[in-house]
Amino acid sequence: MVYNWWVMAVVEVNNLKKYYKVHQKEEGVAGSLKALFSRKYTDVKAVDDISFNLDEGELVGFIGPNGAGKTTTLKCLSGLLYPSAGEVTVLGYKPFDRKTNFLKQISIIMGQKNQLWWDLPAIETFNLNKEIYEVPTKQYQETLSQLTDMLEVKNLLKVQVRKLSLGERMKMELIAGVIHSPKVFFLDEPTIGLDVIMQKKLRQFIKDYNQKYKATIILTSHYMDDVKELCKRVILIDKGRLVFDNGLDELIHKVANHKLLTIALDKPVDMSQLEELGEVVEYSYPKVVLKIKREDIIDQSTKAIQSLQVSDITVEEPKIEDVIREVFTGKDAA
Amino acid sequence: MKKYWVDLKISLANNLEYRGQLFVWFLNEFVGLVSTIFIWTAIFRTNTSVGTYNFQSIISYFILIPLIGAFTGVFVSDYFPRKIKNGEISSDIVKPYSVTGLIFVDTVSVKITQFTIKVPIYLVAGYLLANYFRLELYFTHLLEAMFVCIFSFLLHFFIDLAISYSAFWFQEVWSLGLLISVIITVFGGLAFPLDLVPEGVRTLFSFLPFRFIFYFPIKIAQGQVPPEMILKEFFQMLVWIGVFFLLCRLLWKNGLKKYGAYGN
Repeated sequence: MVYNWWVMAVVEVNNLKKYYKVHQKEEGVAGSLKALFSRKYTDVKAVDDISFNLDEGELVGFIGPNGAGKTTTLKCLSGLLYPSAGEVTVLGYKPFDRKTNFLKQISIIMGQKNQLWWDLPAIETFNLNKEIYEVPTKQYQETLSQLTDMLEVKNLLKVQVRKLSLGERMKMELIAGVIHSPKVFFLDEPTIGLDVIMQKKLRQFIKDYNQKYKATIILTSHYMDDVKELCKRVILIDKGRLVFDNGLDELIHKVANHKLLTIALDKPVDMSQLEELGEVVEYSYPKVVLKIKREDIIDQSTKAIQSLQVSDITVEEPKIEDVIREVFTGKDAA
Repeated sequence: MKKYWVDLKISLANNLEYRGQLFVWFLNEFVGLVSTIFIWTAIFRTNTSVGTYNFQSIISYFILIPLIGAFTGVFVSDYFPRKIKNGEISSDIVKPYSVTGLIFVDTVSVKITQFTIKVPIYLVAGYLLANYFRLELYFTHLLEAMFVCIFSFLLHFFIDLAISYSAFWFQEVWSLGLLISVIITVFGGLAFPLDLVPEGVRTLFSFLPFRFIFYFPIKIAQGQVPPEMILKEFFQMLVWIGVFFLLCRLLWKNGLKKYGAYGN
């Protein structure tokens, strides 16, 4: 099949399922002995009937609690796992066929797995990837120069990988992953274990790469800052099922039916006065945070200004972390 | 093809990082050889021959084992099954190259590294020992054996790879690897020359591919296989290489469907 970006989505996932058989072993030596003769297996639905499409240049956040099926989905999209059912096409290819032209245009980076040669300098892996992906020398040199500048690792190219810090190694992993300028890029927890400054740098790198190469990127992360800064669209997945797929703003509007009213008081007031306005989330004089239904926010804000002595007042959307927690736990976002 | 060439060079550079390991390899084989010579010297104190072997021919058999092994030894099943189990082959699977080709190149690079260190030492040691024990070894026979060894290596490689790929189904392939090493030690002619066993057992051995890994090239190096026999056995060896090559392809193709890509 010839892939035409103007008519087809870059990534198409239809009713994808991935089930595993898992051996249930009872604890202790007795359990181990029993397992020698009879084993109980149960089906784990890692991914259970999910569908979505991604267009060229989209940068999408894939969010869910541990074991939700995020990484499994990425592995199915990159051809690492054979789907139990459903259809997946990426750039017009079925990933599991592992066609050379498909593999040349994708990349997957998994935070804790590395493709770098441990005992050799990172430049050796880059040179090897140049040949594997058949990148023309001039293009390779330019890309390498840009990437090492962007990530500030030019002086580390000839240092053995095992002697690099975690952050430096992650940067090198990213370079090895994009040296062939992939059109589709799967990033699984790229900022895991990194300090805040390093996280920021990597985020900037991902943003720049996405804009410069119009690459379609799926990012999974436990850090909401990654998602907030990078992704306009989020896909929420829980227990293998897709629970939300839309913009970040829509997520907040859809899930959180309230806003947060923060007031700075000039004079202390009774709790009962505050409770008349809305649910009190926090009260530590002079700061008050109230949770108020979206449709009542204007009326209640006006009422607060009239009935209380306030020096400042702001209306905010609830925090994305809290909204997402609400989706997964069913508890109200504060 | 250039990608495999570059991989070979990088793999060689990587191997040289492990100079200590190279020395241990060598020490391991040296100790093994010395103890085997002691055992057979003790046996021949009370015997003049064992089967068709006299003292000289049995010693030359065991001196040739490390030399032939430098060509035909393969150790893929020592590490690759663990990589499958731990999901460490994921970064290879998503790259546009043949993983089997890559393992082959890496194995060849280990062979080259071992070669550059082992073979000169073995040739000198072999020459000294041959003089000491008054062994009759001829260069032409050694050359014939070296040629056959290339194919013995290929056969051993695909047997070992098939074992390794079975890790897609059996999570604990370690015991399977150990089993195959026992089989090769006994059926391949590492523990003793295969023509020392009774006729019936020898017939069983002749239906199996393992004798081609050590026994067959050693006997050629000793000049004990007639040319027409070499040709017949060589053809059989090629058939076995084909069988295991196809088996590896089948196992890889179907094994990938079983691959769990665990560990992340």
